[in-house]
Amino acid sequence: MEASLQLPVSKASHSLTEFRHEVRAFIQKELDAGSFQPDCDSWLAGFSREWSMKMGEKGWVGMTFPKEYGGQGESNLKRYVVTEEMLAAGAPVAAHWIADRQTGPLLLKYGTEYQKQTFLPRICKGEVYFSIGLSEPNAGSDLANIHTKAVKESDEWLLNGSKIWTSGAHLQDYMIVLCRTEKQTEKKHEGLSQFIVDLRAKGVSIRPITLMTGEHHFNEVFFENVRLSDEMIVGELGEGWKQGMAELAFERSGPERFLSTYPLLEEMITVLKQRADADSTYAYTEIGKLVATLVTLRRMSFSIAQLLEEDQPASLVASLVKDLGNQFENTIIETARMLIESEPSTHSEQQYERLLAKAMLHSPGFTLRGGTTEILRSIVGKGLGL
Amino acid sequence: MITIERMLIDTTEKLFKQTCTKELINDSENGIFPKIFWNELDSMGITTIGVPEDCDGSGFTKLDAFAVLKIAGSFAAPIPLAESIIANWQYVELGLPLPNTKQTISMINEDVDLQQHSEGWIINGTFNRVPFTQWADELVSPVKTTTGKWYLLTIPLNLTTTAPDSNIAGESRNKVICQNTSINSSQVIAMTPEHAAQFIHETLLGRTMMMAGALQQILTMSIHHAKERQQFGRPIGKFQAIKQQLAVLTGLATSANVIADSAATATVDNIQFQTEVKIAKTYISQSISKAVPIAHQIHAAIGFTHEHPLHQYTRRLWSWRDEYGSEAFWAKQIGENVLSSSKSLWNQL
Repeated sequence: MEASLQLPVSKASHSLTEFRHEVRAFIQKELDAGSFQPDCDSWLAGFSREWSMKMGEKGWVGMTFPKEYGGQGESNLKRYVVTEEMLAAGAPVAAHWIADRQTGPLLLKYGTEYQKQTFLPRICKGEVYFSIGLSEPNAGSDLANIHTKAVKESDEWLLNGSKIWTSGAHLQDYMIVLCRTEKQTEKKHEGLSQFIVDLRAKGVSIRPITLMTGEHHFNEVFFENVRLSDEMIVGELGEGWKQGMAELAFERSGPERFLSTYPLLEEMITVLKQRADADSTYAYTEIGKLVATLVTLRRMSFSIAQLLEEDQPASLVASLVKDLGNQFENTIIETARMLIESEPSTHSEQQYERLLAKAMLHSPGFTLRGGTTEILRSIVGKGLGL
Repeated sequence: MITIERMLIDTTEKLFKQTCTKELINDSENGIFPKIFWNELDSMGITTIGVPEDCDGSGFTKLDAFAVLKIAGSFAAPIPLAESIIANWQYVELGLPLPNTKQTISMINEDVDLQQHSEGWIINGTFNRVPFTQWADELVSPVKTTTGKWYLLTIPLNLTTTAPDSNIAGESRNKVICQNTSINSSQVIAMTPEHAAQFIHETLLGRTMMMAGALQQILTMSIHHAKERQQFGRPIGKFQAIKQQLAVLTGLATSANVIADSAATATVDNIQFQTEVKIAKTYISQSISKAVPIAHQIHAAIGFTHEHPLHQYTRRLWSWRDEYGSEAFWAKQIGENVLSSSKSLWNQL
C-alpha cells in the first residue's frame, strides 16, 4: 500500500476516555437544563454566543493553544474529543468553530506576537469569532484564481474585492482574507497574502445570500478601500497560499465531516425503539450497517488526529475521510426515510421530522464545502501518482 | 529502528511474493495443494504465530498473526493458514499440546449431536463449508450440546464422509458428515462459552484481515494498471473519470484496513474485541460490493480474463464477504443490540 495511505491505529488512553465522560456529563446537564435543542449541521448553523462563552469558560475553545495565550496547552486528541461530543449532541458550536479550528492554529504558527496577544485569549474565551475568506465569485474550486487585492499606499494597505459563501460573516468579528499583494502571474499560487480584516471596519459591506432553506448563513463580503496596517499581515507576504493550505488536513479529517447528520441518526433510533414494529430484520440490518460505518470513520478520524498531533503528513487520508464521511452523512438521511414512514417538515411537532428536514435541506452543502468531492478525489488521484 | 515484528512482516511478505504465484493459485484450484509452500511456512513457524515459545510456538502475539493473515489475503494464498493458526491457539489455550497433525476448523454446524458413552463420544451431524478438508487430518470445531455446554471437538476426517464443494474462488469448502462417528475422550474438551465466542470471533477476524489484504491488492493492481495502460495516447489514469474511481477505491481499501487493524488491536479486551470484529466484518463486506466493480471497470476486458490475476482476488472477495456471515447477518446483530439497549447510540459506542 502507498506509504501516504498508511494509517496506524490509535486508541484512546484511559485519561482521554475519562475526559470524554466529563464533556458528555457537561452536555447532558445543559441538555437537561434546556440550554440547546440538538440540531443537524450545528457547526454551520448553530450560532450561539452564550454557548461558545460557556465552552470558553470550561477551557474547551482554543484548548490546544499554549497557556500564555489563554489556551490549555492540551493535545489535538482532547480537542478531537470535545468537537466530537459537541457534534454528536448537535450543540450550537458555529460561532467559534473556525476560530478554534483554523484561525488560532494559523496565528500560532505564523502570527506576530502582537496578533497572538490580541486575538488568541479572546478566541479562547469564546467571545471573538473568525470567518474564512477564501472563495470568490470566480474562485470556487479554482481557489487560487483570486482577484481580491491589497495595494500598499504609503504606510497602509488598501483592500479591494469580495469574498463569497462566507458562513456567519454577518455575526462574526474578523475574517482571514487571502488576497493578492503582487500582480497575478502564470504561477497563480504565488503573490498571495493573508490579512486579518475587521468585519466592522469602514469599507466592509456584507450582503446576505439566502440558502435554499430560506436560512441566512452565507454572505458575500465586499471590500472597498478597506485600510489595513502592516500589523494585520499574517506571516510572510506572498506566502499566503502555503500558510492557508497547511491547515487543510485539520479541516478535512475532523468529525464535522461525518457527524453533520448524526442527531438525526440518534433521533431515528429513539423513534424506532418506541415503535412496536421496530424489531424488524430490515431495521436492525440498516442500523447495524450505519453503526459499522460510523465506527470505522471514527477510527480513521481519530487516527489522523494522532498523526497531526505528531506533526505527520495526513492530507491524503484526510481527503478520504471527508469523502467517505460526506457519503455517510447522506446515507443516514436515506436510511431514515426507508425505516420510518413520515414526511420531513421544518415546522413539525416531531423532533424527528424536523431533523430529517434540516438534514435533507442542508445535504447539498456537505459535499461542496471544504473542497468538493470531485476536488478531493483529484487530490487523492494526484497523491497516487496518476 | 526495525523491530522484530517488522522483520516478521517483511520476511513473510517476501516469501509470499516469491512463492505464491499465479500458477500456484491456479494449480490449487485444480486440486493441487501447494505442499512445498506450506512446508516452508510451517518450518518458518508462521503457522504457530501467537503461540508462546514455551508452548512450542513461535511467540509473537495474535496481533502479529492477524497482520500475517492480511499478507496471506493480499497474495490470495490458497492455503488454510488462518485455520491452522486458530486451531493451534485453541489447543494451547485449553492447555493441550500443539498437534503434530494438520487441522482445519469450522464454526458452522447444524444440529450436531454429541453423546457420551463409556469409552468416548458419538457424533452425529453435519459441518458445512469446511475449508481445505482434503489437506487436513482433523476437523476442530466448538460445538454446543442440547444441554448448553460447549466442547471443542477434534474429529479425525477419515472417520467422516466428505461431500466436496468450493467457493466461487475455487477454494475447497466441503461438507463434513458425521454418522455415528466415534471419537475418544481426549478429542472432546470442555470449553467455556466465552472461549467458544472468542474462537468464533477470531475465525471471523481471520477472514476479515484476509479481505482487507485482498482489497489492498486490488487497489495496488488498479493503480498500476491505470498508470501503464494507454488509451487515446495517454495513460488512462490521466483521465478524470478514472482518477475519481480510483480515489473511491482508495477510500474503501484504506478505511477497510483501518477498521481491520482496529479490531486486531482490540484482542486484549474480549467484549470490545467481539464488537469491533463484527463491525469490521460488516463494514468490509459491505465495501466489497463497491470496490470490486471499480477494480474490474478500471482493468476493463483484460481483468475479466482468466489470464489476468485480478480475478484471483475479486472472486475471493466475493466469497469471503459471505463466509462466516455476510454484512446483513452481522449488521442485524449490531442493530439489534443497539435498538434493544436502553442507552442512546452514542453512549453505546
